[in-house]
Amino acid sequence: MAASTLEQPAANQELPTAGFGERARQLALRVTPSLSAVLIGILMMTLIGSLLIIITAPGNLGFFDRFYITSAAYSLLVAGSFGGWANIANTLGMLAPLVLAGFSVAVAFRAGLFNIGAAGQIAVGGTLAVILGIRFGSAPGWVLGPLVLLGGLVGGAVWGWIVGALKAWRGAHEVVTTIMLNFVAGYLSEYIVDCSSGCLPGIGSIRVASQPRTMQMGPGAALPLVSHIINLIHPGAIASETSYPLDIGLFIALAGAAFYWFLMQRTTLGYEIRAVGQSQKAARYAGINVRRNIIVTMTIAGAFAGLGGAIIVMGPDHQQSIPDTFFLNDQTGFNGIIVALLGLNGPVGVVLAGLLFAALAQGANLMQSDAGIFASNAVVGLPTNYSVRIEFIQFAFQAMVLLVIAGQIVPQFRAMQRRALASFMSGFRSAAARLPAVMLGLLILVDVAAMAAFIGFIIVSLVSLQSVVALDTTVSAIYYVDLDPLFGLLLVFYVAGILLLLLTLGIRFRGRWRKQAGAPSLLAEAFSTSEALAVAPLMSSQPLTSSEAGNGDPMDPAR
Amino acid sequence: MFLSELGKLLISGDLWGPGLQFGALLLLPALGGVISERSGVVNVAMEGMMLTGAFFGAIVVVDTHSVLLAVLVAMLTGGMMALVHAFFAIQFKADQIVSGIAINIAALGLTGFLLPIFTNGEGVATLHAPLTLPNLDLAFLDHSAGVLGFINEVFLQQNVIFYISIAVLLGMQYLLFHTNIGLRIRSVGEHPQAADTAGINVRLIRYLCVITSGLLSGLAGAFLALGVAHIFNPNMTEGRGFIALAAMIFGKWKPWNTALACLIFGLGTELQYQFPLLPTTGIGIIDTPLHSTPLLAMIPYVLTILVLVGLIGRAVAPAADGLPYEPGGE
Amino acid sequence: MQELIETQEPGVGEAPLAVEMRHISKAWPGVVANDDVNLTVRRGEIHALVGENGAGKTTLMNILYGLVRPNSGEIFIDGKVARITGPRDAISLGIGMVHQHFMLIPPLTVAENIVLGREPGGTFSRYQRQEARARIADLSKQYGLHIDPDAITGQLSVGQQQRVEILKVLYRQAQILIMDEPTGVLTPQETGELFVVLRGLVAQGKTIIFITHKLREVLDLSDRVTVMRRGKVVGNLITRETSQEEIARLMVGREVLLRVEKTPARPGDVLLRVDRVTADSERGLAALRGVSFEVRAGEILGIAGVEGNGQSELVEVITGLRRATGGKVWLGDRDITNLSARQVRTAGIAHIPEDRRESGLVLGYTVGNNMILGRQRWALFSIDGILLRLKQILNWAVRLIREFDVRAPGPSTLARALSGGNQQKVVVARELSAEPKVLVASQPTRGVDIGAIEFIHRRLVAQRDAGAAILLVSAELDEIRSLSDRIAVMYEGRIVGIESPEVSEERLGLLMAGASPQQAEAERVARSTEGAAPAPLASQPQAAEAEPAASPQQADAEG
Repeated sequence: MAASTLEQPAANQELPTAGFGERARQLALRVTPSLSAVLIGILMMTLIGSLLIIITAPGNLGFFDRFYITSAAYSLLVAGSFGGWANIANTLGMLAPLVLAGFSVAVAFRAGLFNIGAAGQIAVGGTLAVILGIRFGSAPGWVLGPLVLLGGLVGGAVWGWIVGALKAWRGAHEVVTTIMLNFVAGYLSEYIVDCSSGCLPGIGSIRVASQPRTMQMGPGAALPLVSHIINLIHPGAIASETSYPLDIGLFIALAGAAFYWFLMQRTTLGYEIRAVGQSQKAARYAGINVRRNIIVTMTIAGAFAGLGGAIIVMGPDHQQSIPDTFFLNDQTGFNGIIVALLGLNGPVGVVLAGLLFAALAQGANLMQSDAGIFASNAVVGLPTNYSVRIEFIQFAFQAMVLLVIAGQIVPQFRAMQRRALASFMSGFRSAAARLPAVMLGLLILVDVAAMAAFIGFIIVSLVSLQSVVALDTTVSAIYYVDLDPLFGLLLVFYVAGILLLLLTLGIRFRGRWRKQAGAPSLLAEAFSTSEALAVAPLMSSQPLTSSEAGNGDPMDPAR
Repeated sequence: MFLSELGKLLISGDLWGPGLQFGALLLLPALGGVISERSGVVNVAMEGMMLTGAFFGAIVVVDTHSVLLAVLVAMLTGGMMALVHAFFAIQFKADQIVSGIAINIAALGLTGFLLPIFTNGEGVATLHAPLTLPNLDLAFLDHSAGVLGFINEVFLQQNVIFYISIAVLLGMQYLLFHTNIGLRIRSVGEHPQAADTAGINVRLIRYLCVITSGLLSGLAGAFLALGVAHIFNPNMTEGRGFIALAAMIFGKWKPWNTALACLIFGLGTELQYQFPLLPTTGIGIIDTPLHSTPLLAMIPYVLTILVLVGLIGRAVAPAADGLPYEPGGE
Repeated sequence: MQELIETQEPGVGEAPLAVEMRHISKAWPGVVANDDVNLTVRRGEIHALVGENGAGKTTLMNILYGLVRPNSGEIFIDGKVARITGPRDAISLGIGMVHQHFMLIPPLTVAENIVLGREPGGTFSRYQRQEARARIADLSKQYGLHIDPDAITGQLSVGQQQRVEILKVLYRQAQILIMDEPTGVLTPQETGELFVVLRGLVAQGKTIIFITHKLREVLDLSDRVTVMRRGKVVGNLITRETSQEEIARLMVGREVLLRVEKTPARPGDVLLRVDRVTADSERGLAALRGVSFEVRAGEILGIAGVEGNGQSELVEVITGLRRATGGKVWLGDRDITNLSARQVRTAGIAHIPEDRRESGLVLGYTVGNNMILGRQRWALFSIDGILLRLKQILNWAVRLIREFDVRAPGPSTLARALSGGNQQKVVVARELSAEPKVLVASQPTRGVDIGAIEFIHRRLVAQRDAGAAILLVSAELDEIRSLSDRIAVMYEGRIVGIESPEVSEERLGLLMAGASPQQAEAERVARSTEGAAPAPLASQPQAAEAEPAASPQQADAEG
């Protein structure tokens, strides 16, 4: 019996090829429902926030006046995050550690693990980075920078490895171990920073004598600002570099995103990680060493987060020095969970979700302080010192996103929409099956258009109301912007979005409408999935979490 | 000198009294976890439910001056958070861990943003009696030293909630293992389909158990704010909900064993405050950790990890824990 | 269109029908389970409901028991209209169901399992152990079902567990018992005991409906038979007026090929040798107690036996998924004992696992990704075992889909979306295409529609003819007998006999039940000299089959 020829390199085996049309269809099927999912997320968040604003606005104002206030608030949100280069730089500057934390959580989710410990991994990575940055502070930038980054990576990787090893060898559930290790890491960091001479063998104290914070790392450890690099290419382009606190950490994070995508989609390791996340039994059958896989995944997750930690301390916001309780209080790791979930663990999704989050945080400042001023232009009777509490939006955002994700409404949306779209694209004869697909596409289009117009309108207004040169300073021009079109666009966004929501929910609950006797109504038949399932190609979809994949008991120590 | 002081510490009422109190603080949410998971619903939201209970307990007691009302409201809000978790887990068949974490984050956000609103930006000031949960003095043994004194100090002078938590412990043990309802709860957690075909309402039982865990966690929150710390700070639960979870796993989902775990964790927590009072040994490697606040603060968390690592190989959760139930045929 | 075949007894003052189901229809997306089904069951009769997998029998009974709601149709119990919305309604009407997969809770005692839901004292009282025990003892005595009420259910044998299931149903005063494939997990002896119990129940006035696909049981036990095929009723027969052949024809719709057409085997060298292998089960008990056999190139060795006698563990040991505690496994002249699953696969052993949904496939992966499961690091599919060759993988999948006639729109279809038969074809395609030296096939056609079964059988024979050594493990005796060149019987972790495929069912049954061949021989001799006296070890079914043989000498010659 001939030995199997499959073992030998067979690069020139004759095999039939798959069609190009197929791959194009796959791409379209993948993108559209994800886009819709993000829209739904934004919609729900802003809806809750709007409701809170509408309810708590002071005075005897009618509904439309109150809606004006929400338009004003959101306009300021946009202006504060994307209005003017300085604000854009601020927003993007927040992105890097957030996105890396997001990937840390996402890569673990892919393997069916919950990495709630990104915060601790950031802490350990960041602390190790600081130690290295201080100890080797005199090294030149091109040596010290990568060294400090590497320190962050390694520190985070070790902390992640601990979780993976505990789970693989002792079955310790990672939800509890990661949270415990978060606290341990935070306190460890505090201890290391605070400790006066003698307690860190071989390293000495890294603390400033009179305050509970570290010394500064060497100048080589500061991440170069993007504005500085621009000035190097076009000298004099930017007058005040530090007004734009965006460092190259952004590009490191984007490189991380590319790495994540490549790892998951193009490597055998990624294939095996995803297999373990979907079905441990099948993975074992396939010869995959599940334990080793868990450890490797958690190590990679820790590395992502640790890198983020290094970028935090190397960035312009802290002057390369941190107080002792910094990592105890830092919320980045925590926010990373939300970013990963909202981004559905995908390389592009996590970046976009991170962008949304950063925009929110950045824009909220302006929204809180100036909402009264702006809105009182259009709303008679509103005191100018009215302020919208940031916490409204943040709380609404967090809770709503998480519950939507937890309710798996979003993945279900995607699945439903994918099916409808697929049946449409396969040219199915029945007009009834096309109907939901067309409606979906239309609503998504309208929603995206409204949102884009809203944002675009604000930015364009800001530009046109000031000279180009002055764009990078204040955004006080916003007060001269006419609120009416903004109001209208927001309304359109909401209406289209709510219709989108209802349509997809309708598809979800279609079975409940069907009459018991007699022929099903046209609408119900239109939403029937039987044809779609039988005919259409469906894209590979990664379940969000392990129990969606049917991996069962998350508390099962044997898992 | 050090060793003898250490020895004295380990058997002193100063350690065991507060240790038991911290243990009781953990016991309530841990028992909540037990009943929830026995019915098959994973609940990692104890942390958030405790925090909510602590918050509303503090706010209500300041506004109404009624401790009883505050406690009831605290339990109620805990129950409501639990209801949300139950709804998503049971109706939507959501991933139960994500749903639980969502509740935790929502609780943080909710209390964080309501705090300045309800207190006009000032936060909650330290609470004094009669706005607190009192310690009871049941000491009938007329001794202040020796074994009887120990018993007095440790067991008979605890907070009122401590005694309630012991009652809950006994009640839950009885309920789960000696009543028909307990039988049904356990069956739902092990094999919901079998329970369903036996005519048991799986959903209802799961809802009730999860809500109960919310009530207990809310009560624990009130205990924390009104009985132990006498204040409310944002995020004051500091991971205790998760330590309770670990106690439940250690205790293999049985009430008495869980209580034992809570006792261990409670003692560990108190040691954090007692160690610095010991005399120094002159040995750096021992002295430094025992007198360094951050390192001491780690004790409960490290202890939890050690417990999880040492024991888990043999713990078996209720078989259907974490699996959403799909009624037959669909 | 198949005509409905009915043989009716002339009705003379008939009692009201115990169960009448009229015009029952039930459809799910893509599948019609019941299509205008009518069923009548008389009081006090044993009624068999027969059909292939997917014929709709279980759905029909689930409807009767309230686990499933029909789309249309009516049910009458004892002549009165019945509204059954859930098991509780069914129970209150006196209907009880003994499921194919037992609805028992392993950690609870027998008593607790039986009284669950109707405990003495009611919902809100304490658990009354004595009372429960007493009631169960009464039932045991009345119906001859002996069991220890305090035994832990999970530790009972399968036959005993079934008894608990029956007692559960009787405890609720069921008058109509539905039994779903009750004999699938029983030895022939236990089957005989069950039949005695069932006849006893009928003698006490109960009505029994039992679902089966085993024709012999139908003839032995039932009074009347309803045959279903593809959701419709195709026959309503009186048992004593029909034959196995007629029922089989109705079940399948055409002449059933009882044998796969194959040329005689030409065995070559020994490719797989198992030598005194021992291994433990999941629970730590001994599952294999010294198994030895050989499989040669170009032959199929079938392993027959009731499930749970070590077959699964044997397969796992050979394929590297379970550690052998003793003995050796040889592939050719290479010792492959305790090698990892990956190494075993690379060495040339392919494995069709017994549960395709959990082990054989990653349901969330596309068909394409599933086609390389277990071989993702092979040179054909990856560069250096690290980077995936996506194009090659896609082309490979396309080729296999075509070659094995997998009904899927394309390689990017999710495995989850395929029917059971097509899923199995993916697994078979994958394993066969690796040109293995040895193929281990475990329950290869379980839950597969008949067209796919024939296809898979033909491919297995083709692989044999190409020189592979095939180890076939199956619980379907017919499959074993039609495919195997030799049959090995496993009982309690040992091979108790190796027979030719012409061996009588009686002898096979005895071996499967643990009787030694000598004992079986002695029994036969004893029976042939004693005439028609019932044999204590052989159950009635085996004796019934000997009838057509007409003479003891002929029966002897079969052995």
